[in-house]
Amino acid sequence: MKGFLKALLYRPVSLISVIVLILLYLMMIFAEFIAPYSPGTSFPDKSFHPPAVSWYSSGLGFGPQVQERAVINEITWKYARIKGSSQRVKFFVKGEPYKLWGLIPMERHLFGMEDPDTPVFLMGSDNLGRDLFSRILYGSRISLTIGFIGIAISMTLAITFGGLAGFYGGRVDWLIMRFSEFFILVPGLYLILFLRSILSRGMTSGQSYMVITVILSFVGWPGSARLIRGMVHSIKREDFISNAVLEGIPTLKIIFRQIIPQMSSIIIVSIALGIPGFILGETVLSYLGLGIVDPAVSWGSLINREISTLSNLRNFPWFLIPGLFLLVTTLAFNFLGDLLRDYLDPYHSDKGGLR
Amino acid sequence: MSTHLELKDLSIRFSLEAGLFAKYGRFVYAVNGVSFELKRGETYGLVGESGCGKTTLARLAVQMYKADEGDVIFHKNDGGSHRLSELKKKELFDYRSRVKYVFQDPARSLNPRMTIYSILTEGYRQSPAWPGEEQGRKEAEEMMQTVGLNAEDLDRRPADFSGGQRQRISIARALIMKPELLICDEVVSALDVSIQSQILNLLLELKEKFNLTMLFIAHDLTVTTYFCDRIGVMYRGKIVEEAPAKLMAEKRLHPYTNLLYNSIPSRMNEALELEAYEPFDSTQPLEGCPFYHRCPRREEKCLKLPELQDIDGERRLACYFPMEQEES
Amino acid sequence: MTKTAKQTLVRIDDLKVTFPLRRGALKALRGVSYTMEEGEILGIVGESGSGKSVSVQALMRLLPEYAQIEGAIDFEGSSVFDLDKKKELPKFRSEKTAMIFQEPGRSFDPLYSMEKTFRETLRLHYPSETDEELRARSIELMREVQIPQPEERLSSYPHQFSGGQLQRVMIALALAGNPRLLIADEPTTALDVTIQAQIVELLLKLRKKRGMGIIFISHDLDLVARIADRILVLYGGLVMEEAPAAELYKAPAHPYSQGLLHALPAFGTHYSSHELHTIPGTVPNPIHPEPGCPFAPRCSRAKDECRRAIPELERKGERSRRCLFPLDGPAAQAGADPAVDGSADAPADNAKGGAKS
Repeated sequence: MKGFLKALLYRPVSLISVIVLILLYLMMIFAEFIAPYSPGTSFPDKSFHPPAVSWYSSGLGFGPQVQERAVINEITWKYARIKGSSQRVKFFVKGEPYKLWGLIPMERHLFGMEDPDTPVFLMGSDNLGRDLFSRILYGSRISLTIGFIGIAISMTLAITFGGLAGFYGGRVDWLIMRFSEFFILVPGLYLILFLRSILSRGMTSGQSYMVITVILSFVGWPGSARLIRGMVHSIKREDFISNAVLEGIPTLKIIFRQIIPQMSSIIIVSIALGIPGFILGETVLSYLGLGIVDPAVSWGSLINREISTLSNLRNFPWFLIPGLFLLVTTLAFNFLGDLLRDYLDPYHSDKGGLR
Repeated sequence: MSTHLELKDLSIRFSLEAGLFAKYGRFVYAVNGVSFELKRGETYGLVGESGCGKTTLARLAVQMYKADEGDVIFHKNDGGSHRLSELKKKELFDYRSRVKYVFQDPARSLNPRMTIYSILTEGYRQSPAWPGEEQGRKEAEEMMQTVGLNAEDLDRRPADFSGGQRQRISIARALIMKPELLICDEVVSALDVSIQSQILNLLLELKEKFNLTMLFIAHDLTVTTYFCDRIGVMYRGKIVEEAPAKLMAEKRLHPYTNLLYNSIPSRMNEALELEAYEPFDSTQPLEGCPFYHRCPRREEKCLKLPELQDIDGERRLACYFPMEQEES
Repeated sequence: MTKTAKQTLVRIDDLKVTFPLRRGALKALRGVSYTMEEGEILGIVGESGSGKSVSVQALMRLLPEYAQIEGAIDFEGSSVFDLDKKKELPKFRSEKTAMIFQEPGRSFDPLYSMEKTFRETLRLHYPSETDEELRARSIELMREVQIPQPEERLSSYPHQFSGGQLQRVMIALALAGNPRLLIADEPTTALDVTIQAQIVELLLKLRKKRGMGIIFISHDLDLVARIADRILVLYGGLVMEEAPAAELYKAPAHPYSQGLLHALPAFGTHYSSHELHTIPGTVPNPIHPEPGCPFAPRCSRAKDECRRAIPELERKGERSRRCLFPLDGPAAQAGADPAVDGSADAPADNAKGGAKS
């Protein structure tokens, strides 16, 4: 662990990535507290409201504050500032009551406005006048966890099938590999669409979350399975495995207790590098309207094709912010994966190691 | 002395291609009909160069591969015998707990992620003889001391040990279930010179202590003649000469054994054939004498495979034109 | 070769090589000095971690950048550290010196035919010659290393050669630049014993014919004694003993050399009548070497003073040894031949060594 921290310090990019990821996940965990509103709270007369927190006004001086705006054009949703209406943003303010983690009833939020009619749109609002920042936070609950659950399922499949194919070889190997090639050969997107379409559309958000995860896992496992199969194939030739066979250790125990742990570093790296794939997969599905749908939110549903039209993006550029979160997260996981790969590589240079 | 292990006409070939639709046409002929016996309590040495099939033969003896032809018969110390080709899973387990295999390279034969304690006991635990955690730990500690290591080191991992110590661990692992027969596959070749003799002495000591029969595989004629009671010389999947070690030290009848002898550094002489030889093609089935292509004494007759024949009750030889030498 | 006084080919003086690693500084060489004359075969013997390969890698300037090197290495009177990296070093490595390694198979490009491999090497030395002329030279070189039917073998690829043949081809390629020094780093370790014998004979023959010096590195003292004129025994990054091969083989002065010689049985001895002399303990740790003589923890003759400071390398006629209580010293009692029963007086701290008691 100490060595890993040292390696982190050698690479500022990875260090930043790790910090960013930690922040994102903290925000996800405390979403109810940090978000000023619930994802469904809507201000009907404030659709397409631009980000509105400023740091200075002549009236209030420095400090986070919100100037009230009024719609001047209902068609293009142009807003005008109302002079002298600035109000300070208050911290630990009482707002909508909520239950933290669905358990602890609370009503204080990290920040908010005392006047409930003046919303604090940190990152603007969407077409229904809902706070985008709050929605991003709640959306991360799906987007940031789907990767872990998805990779857990697909790695389990990959390790099981790859391990069996690699160890037994011959017919078993042939069958498993042809089966996995089926998934590889069919373009992933078509497969996802196909699987999604045969499942009913009238699902609760919880159901569709699970279904999407499973679908993505099914598309994701063959690549890792092939990698694992190849490694198992070479590790099983090691003398200590031959010896375990001679000692009469049951085969499954040999595969999963002796061979697979030898590649733990590869697996860790594949996990770190695989997570962004799942996040993006969910995004694609939700973008197409096949994933998470209202009232549930995910980052994918925030850049839904009905919202992210070209004209919308041109007129309301803050709609790009969920995409930015997505970009930062996937990049951070990739940098983390790169770091882990180099750090866990037994052949990395002994002197200074990571440079 | 009674027979402990019999190897009868063992042959194996490996397919060069693999897969469901591979054409099974090309093979490597690794072992081509080998028979010999291990007497109870003796050390039998198999000598030969790389690719001669000695390791494959040893692995056939523990059924790491299944022989294409031939069989292995094991006569247990407590009566009864195992015929390797007919063993069921349970009997095979029993057989393999009586016949243990020690690998060449201790760096590769110990799982780097396991503690020494779990390495020593992983097989033992599978056995009905496993005496439980407490007694098992005690036995493992004893075994560590028997092979010259500290009992306290049981919870460390292989990386903490030097090559020689790792080989001691391998030996301890093989002996913990009190086997009757030990197969040592080039156990000293990967070690430093100054460590090799330690391991050889240890094996001699343990052989006495545990009443072991040993099959000792090596490429070095000197070490084998020192360490073994009888020696079989292998070439291209065949035994070409077999004799008690002391007799082998005195004279060698097969031209190949003689070549091995003349290649010992302290014996090397310039009369050695200098021309680089063509490597033999082991994808061809063996027809004539395996040493034909390199033999200085070859004649047309040698194109017919010479049988391994008893010549004086102690020595077996497969050669039509043996060396006649007087000096040792 | 002229019969005048032999010139010094290599002079290494107090060479220290340290590799700074994460785990600590690995002292590969702790002050090694030797000289070598033209046409001489110098054998360097040592076990793993003795530093036997490092000294020649330093000579060839093959050590990685981060290695800390102290001391002097002269080749034909001028320092190898002064060689210009771009211009002179490649010339030095191909025309003055050449090197062959343990596993010849790894030194070849599997996609190059032998002819192409030879042509690329020879072109460096004979840039103006045509392909035909280079081919003739290749055949000549292959003949010199006794590859049968060189004309036909030239069109073969590396995988069609056996290990022994590849090592011959390696030697032939090394000879292409007509080097004054051939460095053979464990050239026969990966080969079969019968092939090893052939390679050794070949090297001896080439030395006679070409008069080039050879540094022959091996862990096998028997083998080195067969080929070398002079032997250097390394242990723990230090020269333990240096002597003419025959003398060292007959009467080693350092307990370690003797231990190496007796570590393996002599041909014809049998366990039922001869006890094997062992060196207890393990090879030293190059990162945390103990003070004093590196062999002291394993030495049956070691006394307290051996563990205090590293003994000096003492010269005595043609031989030198680094030992306070050498086997040929005044302290050595006549008749105390440890070969008879060397392990009886092994030190008590060999719990891990497991020597016979």
